[in-house]
Amino acid sequence: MKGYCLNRLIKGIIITVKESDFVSFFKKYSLDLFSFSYIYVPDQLQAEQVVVDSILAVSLKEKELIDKLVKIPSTGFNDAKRLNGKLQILLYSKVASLGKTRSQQLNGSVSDQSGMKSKYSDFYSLGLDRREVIFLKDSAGKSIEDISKILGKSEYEVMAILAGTRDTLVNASSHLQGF
Amino acid sequence: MSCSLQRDSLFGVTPLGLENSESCEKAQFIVGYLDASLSPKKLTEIDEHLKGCDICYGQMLDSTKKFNTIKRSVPHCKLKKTERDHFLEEVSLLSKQIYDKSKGNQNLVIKKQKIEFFKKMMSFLFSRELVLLYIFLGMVVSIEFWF
Ligand SMILES: [Zn+2]
Repeated sequence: MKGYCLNRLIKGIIITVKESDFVSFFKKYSLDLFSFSYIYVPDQLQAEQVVVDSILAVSLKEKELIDKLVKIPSTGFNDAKRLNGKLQILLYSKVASLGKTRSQQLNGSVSDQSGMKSKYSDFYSLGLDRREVIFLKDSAGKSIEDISKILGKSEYEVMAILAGTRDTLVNASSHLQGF
Repeated sequence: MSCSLQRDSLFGVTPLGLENSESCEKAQFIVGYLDASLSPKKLTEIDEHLKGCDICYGQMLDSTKKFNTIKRSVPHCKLKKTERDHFLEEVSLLSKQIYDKSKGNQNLVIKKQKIEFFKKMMSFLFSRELVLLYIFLGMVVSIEFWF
């Protein structure tokens, strides 16, 4: 009781985020991060590993952000939302950089066990910089502003890549389907 | 051929905000309308406009087809149930570790702050002015006691 009062005296009213809520946040986004990771390395185990490595790397680099998320002052629920958004962008960004590195290391030697590469051959024949933009916009539904932050590109650059890639995919598909 | 070029250029240049149709100035917002990148105000405006403009309505149908083609071309890889459960379990364990570590750090911070607070209280209670006040009060009390 004494310790509790002292804590309140020193730090004000503190609300600690439940462990289950914190874990839910990562669980919720990890499946989306996995899909994103898969565009760089179309292999289930490799893609999963990229996500796990990214979560670990972000948690080590962004200790302050994680601490803020775990302990939210009672007046700062809007802050929590903002911090969640920031963490999400950092996670996507890390998956992008680790995914690219892993893709280069594997140098296209990933076997196509799932058949995804052949099923989405038009997509996988695109360069990584075009794949990531079109995935983030038209599959993950991210805004241009968020994509720009995730990939470290200007919004104009993102829009230009997006427009060109959309055209490429539509044209490739229309050649196949004959419309 | 010209029709095809117009169709393709609509998709290509619209996100850059350039004019793409000479027939209706609002046609440039159709792609933004479909991929939810317009402001709520503009969205309502285009929504209303579409009810009365055949050109834009036609463009919207055409662009919708293209979006469906793109959606089919972009993979969104999903794991099978058992694989998903296994992966989520791994993520769950990792995030629990991150949580525990962060809480551990915070307990350490609070402990340090308690010590700092205790030190400040002590230095305040035993400050020169207060010690003099204690002596003075002690004298007053003892004088009252003796007389
Ligand atoms: Zn119109």
